[in-house]
Amino acid sequence: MDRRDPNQEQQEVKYTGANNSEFFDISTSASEIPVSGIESLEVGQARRDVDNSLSAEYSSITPEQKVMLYAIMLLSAQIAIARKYKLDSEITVSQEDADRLAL
Amino acid sequence: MKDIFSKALKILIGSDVSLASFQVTKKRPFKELTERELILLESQIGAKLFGPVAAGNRREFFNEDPKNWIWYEEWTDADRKTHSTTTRYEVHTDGILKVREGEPYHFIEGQELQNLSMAVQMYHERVMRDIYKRDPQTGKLIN
Repeated sequence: MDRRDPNQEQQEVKYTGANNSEFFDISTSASEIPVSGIESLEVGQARRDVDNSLSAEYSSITPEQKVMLYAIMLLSAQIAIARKYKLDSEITVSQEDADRLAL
Repeated sequence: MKDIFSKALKILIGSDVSLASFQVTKKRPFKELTERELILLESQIGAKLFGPVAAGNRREFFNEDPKNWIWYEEWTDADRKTHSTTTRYEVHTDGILKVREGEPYHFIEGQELQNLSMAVQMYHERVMRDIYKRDPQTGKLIN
């Protein structure tokens, strides 16, 4: 979920002249706008991105853990597919989804 | 009877409105449940996967989307004060990131990863059969 004000970037764009290359002067980049909210998925991801030690720490993932991780990914995706077709019973299951639903 | 309602509506609303616009259609083609309702049903199953919940307590465990699993626990202490905690397990290609308010986030490993893996398998098995009426192995509809 993007918590930034959708008008924020628009407000920051200033007209500076007729020259196309300098037509807009973006005084503050969108990335500088503070984002708050501990439960935000993006925040969690962003924090992880800036903390390199986390990725390095998890490079020691064992083959057994990898199997569990892939199983969780697969089953999560299957639930989402089943939910999609339950929500709209008019659509028919595509071949790709049928393949993904089968273990 | 219809005239009486029409007159009553006219008095209340101040204009002559037809009753037809207030009739609710019973038919809801193709859209039986919303996604939120499906998730609530799934959560009822998810909450029972870990044994009984003590009286007065509440538990939710559900798959929000392919990349997020939510665990919610609510309980009341001896002073009748209600506490709750929400844990989000984010599914990444390189691990399961555990995000909980007020705690450092980290990739889960060991017993916790095993427990989550087991819970997800049980959840999948149950919701596929009980809610989506599909064979968990083949994904095909169960007649």
